[in-house]
Amino acid sequence: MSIQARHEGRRFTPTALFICGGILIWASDFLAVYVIAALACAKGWAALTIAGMPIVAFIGTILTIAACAGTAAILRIGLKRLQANGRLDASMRFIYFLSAAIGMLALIAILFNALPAWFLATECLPY
Amino acid sequence: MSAVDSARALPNPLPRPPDELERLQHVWKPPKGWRLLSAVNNTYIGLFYTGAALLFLVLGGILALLMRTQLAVPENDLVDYDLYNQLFTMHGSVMMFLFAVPVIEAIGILLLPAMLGARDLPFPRLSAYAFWAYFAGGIVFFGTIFFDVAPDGGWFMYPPLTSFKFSPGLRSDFWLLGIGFIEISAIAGAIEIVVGILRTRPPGMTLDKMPVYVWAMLIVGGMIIFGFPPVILATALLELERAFHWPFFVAEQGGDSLLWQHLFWLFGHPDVYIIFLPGAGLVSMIVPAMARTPLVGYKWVVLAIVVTGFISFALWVHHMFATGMPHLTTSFFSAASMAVAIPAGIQVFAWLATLRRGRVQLATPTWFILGFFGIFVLGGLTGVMLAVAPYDWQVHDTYFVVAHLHYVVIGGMVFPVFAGIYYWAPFVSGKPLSERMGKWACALMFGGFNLAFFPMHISGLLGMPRRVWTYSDTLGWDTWNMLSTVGAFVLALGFAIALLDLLLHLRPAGKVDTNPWQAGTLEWLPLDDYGVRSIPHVESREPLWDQSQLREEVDSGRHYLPGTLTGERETIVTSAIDARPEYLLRLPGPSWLPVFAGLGTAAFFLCLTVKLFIPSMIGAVVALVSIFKWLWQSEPASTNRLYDIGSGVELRDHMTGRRSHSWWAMVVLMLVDGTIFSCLVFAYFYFWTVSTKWPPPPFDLPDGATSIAAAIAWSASAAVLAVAHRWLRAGVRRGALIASLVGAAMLAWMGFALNFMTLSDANVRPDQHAYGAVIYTMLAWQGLHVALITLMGGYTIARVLAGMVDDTRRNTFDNTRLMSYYTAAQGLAALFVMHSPSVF
Amino acid sequence: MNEEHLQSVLHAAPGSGAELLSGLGIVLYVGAALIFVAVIALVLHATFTDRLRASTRAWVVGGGIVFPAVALFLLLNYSIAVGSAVSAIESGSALRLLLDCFRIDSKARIPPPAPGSLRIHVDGKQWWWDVRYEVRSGDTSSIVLANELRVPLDEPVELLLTTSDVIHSFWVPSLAGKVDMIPGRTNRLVIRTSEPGIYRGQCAEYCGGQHALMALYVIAQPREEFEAWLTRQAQPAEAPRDDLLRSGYDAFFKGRCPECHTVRGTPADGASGPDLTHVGARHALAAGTLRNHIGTMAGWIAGAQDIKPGNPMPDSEVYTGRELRALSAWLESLE
Repeated sequence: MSIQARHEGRRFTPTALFICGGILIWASDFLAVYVIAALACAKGWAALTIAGMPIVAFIGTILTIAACAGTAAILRIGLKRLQANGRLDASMRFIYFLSAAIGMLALIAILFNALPAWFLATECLPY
Repeated sequence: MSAVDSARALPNPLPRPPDELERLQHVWKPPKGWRLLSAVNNTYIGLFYTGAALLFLVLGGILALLMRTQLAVPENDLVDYDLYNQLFTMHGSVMMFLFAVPVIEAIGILLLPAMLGARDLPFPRLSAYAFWAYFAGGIVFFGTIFFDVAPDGGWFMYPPLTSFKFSPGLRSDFWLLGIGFIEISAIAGAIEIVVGILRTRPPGMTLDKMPVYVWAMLIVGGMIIFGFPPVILATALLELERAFHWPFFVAEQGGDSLLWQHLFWLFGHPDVYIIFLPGAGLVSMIVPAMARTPLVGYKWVVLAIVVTGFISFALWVHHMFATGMPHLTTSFFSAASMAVAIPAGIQVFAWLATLRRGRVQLATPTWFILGFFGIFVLGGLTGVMLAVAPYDWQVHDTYFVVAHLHYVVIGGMVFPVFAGIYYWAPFVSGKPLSERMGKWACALMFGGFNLAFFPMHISGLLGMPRRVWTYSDTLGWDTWNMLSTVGAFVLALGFAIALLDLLLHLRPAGKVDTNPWQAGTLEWLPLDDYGVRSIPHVESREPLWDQSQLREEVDSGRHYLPGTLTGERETIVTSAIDARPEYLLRLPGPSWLPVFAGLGTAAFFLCLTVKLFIPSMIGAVVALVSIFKWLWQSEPASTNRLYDIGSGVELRDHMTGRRSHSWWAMVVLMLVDGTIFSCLVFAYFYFWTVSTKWPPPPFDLPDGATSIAAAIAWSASAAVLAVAHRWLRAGVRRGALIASLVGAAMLAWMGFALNFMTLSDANVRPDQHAYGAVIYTMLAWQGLHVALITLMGGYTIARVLAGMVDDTRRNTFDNTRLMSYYTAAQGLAALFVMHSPSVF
Repeated sequence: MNEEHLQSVLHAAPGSGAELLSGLGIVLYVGAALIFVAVIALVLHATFTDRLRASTRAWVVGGGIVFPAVALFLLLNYSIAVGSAVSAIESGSALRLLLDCFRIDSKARIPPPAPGSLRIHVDGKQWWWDVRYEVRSGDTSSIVLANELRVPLDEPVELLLTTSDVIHSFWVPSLAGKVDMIPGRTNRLVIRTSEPGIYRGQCAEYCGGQHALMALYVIAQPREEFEAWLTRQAQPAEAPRDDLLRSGYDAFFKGRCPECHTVRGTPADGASGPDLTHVGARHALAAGTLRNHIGTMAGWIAGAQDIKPGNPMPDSEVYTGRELRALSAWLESLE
């Protein structure tokens, strides 16, 4: 009897997405902030303000908070699973570690991304 | 018996049947004499590939020496400006596209199956085809320098300089052609590598046990899938502009030359990491072996590789900091360019910690690794400087950048590759290379490199722009340039010694049984043309360190699949995450078909470039016939038996549907196509943002009603095959299957014709404005896919008629079906984009 | 005022944006050197000493993540501050805070030029620079020169950078970072210096055949000298004063020169080559390739294709030696 009949095993796509979750959030955040900033400059909206903040800074802040929350959640899930279940097999522990640690690096990258939106929200002039 | 039994209960008992080894040897025997060129074993293709890449390293290096000689003294007239401009363009293009990218794929093809304990990669003939297309194309591309038709626009070929107006003639076309070959072979290589790593790992090699190099190549494969499409599209657009004057990059007609820069660097920056990550992967293999201790922080290194793979896609604008983009937008890329230094730091400190823990063997590979540290760390630090946008405004496009990029590429890739050559030479030939020559080569390369490139930082800061064929003696650049030239020749001497060592001492041996560095990974098991005698069950990251009897067990055939069960070449396909055996993959043997297909492809493109239409058609026919003939032999009929590979694990010799390797390769190909299409969509919106009114007067949006009809036709085309798929599963007769394939193709063509009508009715022409150019390109790209499903459908019909398609043998049909779904989805997306101005 | 400065990032003019950038450079060089020496020392020590302790946490996490993350975070802020300080922009409040944090004082920053102040249009061409002064808003045709800009000391001057053919890049390293000139776009650069002198610059983006021979000069002088020069530049060319110059003038119109060149005050109004109205006053010829005197002028006219092969100016073979001398003398007299 072949083993595949007994074990379907873990599926590739969900596992890969789980591992890369944090950095995918970073990528979406990066793309969104970049596109909004580029459009704001190209279309001349950069000087608009929302709640007293320049529009790019405002949207950038919201996106950053959302992205941080997302990566922090992934980090937490990973750490919790790693701590709670000592009986995880080595490969599962590795997958949870990767997911959590990628979430952590993504968090750093997201914070790096946020700086330009805060300091330069209206600086559309070409150098 | 379970597959996850401990090593004590081995999968297969002794003694082995007397003729088992002989039969295994027989099916894997490569052809002899000149017929060796028709070999498809990864070991041979890997060696051909590596050899060809090293040949281009030498050729590109000779061009560099010519340039350095010209620049040794001010106002030199050794070569004139016209030749010099060809020299630097060819040097950059040859080194990046004919050496760097191919050599990392070559080493992957050579090493990966052995590291995975697989007998070969899943698509041996695809590798052979990619190699021959690349080799023939590369040689002709290089040859253009002898006929004064070599490209002269710089290796990143910025239009408008390289377009029809400022570069008439064939020079730029040859560049676009040369890159075309690399695009083909890189994508083919990526499919091979990704599917190989995910699906042909040995049982038990779960993700946490994959060697770091394998991780690096997996990520690099993914990066090629998403990183090459932008340049594939960019080269196509530039060729369309050159040949038919479709104005993608012509500012007066709504185009923008910066679009080229975005697309080129959207490829170009990931490409730097496509080159560097495998180099780092090699270092992560060599350092632990030479230090005789496991890599410190394995999981952190894997993490770093994955993160680098992603972040490298958000760096491209740092090549464009001086283009006058808003300070706001450039700073995002500055931030990402700095963030990417963190994963590089993780790797450096992991190697450092490993060297600390171990007792390091001081042999040639170690010296090259030390050289790598000395060079790469500095290149990384200057990379951080370039990430600082205001600083980059000064040093961009100067010799400082020339210095930086050579520190990164030679430090990060060439030194690890040469460390790897000395480290893995015994893996190829059973014997190490000369330690004496190796040390000399390393010392001369390291000294020569630093002498050549360190002064370039200074000449750059002293205001020397890159790509100048001469300079005045009043600028203070003389001394630094002379030093660089001397260094370049010393570096060349180092390369020459290493390559001479290879020529003298590397003799590929069939049977190899050696582990000179006492390394722990599978490629140091006893090997022959068939790979390992039996495929081990892997239980740790360094099986050779942790399972002391493994060499003997494997070589005596006690692990999985110790012979050939089907009487053909075969390897085990395992599941992607858990590495559980799923089926036996029967692999094809030697054949001339991939050679003909590769040469035919080369002939087609070359003859088309020089406008020899009839020879180019002959080339296309040769290529197509060869490919179809080779495909015809793929997906052999299943024997419908279960084969016992050991431990009572019984596998079929065939797989259809989502678990088959063919499905995975098709998905990879669709990801490539989808990325190309996404880049085209990006181009559409990009033109929109740079224009004041969209669509630009006097052009209109495509007609709505006809567009809906086109959408219906495309959807119907996919639906027909979805229904046919159900019929096939239910065992329908041939006629219905053939009718549905014909119908699907016809509906797709109908969709194409309707879409074309929507554009011509709206008075949109491709050669008047970037608006028309980009939507006609979408249509043409869609047309290419319709043509592709027609070809695939025709081929599937032929197989149906030959009785080669049924419920259990339907990979060909599934591939056609998948491509037809993809085409329909892409067509709908294109229509949506074309109508988007009325939505937003 | 005639001191020629090196075309060098390492020799930034006082009061220029380049000076701020070279301060940034020093931070980068020192930081990189320290890190490089430390890492290499650690690598060598690790290689040649056996079995040292190395915890993953301290080395990989501490050295590989925490240290670079903190250092780069600071560097990113500093780079945003310096980038804004040299970009001649009005800083918002967040940005002003950042500038103060890094002690970039307001005198060092390049301020935005006052509205209505001098603007200079520089248009890149294969392989020279067309320079037009916009003294009054909208008027860019009364002061036209080539391959040379003059600017008053201590004032921010706005350059508007365009191209007529391929991509070029305007770069005078002692004054400021480079800015590309891109078809269909107008880029902006504000330069300032407080040291008089001649600053060399060079095209930094590969632009075809003679990219290497596409230089220019920026000459900074005190406001009064600059005003005097500007007034003179606005004048048309003077009529030839003597016979030699008159025969030079005739030679100019005998050849094909007027097809491409303009000399204001004469019938010559060609548009594709440099304006020669005051060519004699320029620092160099052929986009910085030759020093400017009567000998080089004659050589350039007779042998433009030998000196700068492939450039659009043909060799003029129609002239006798005497005519060539007269023509060169006349052109040099256009000061």
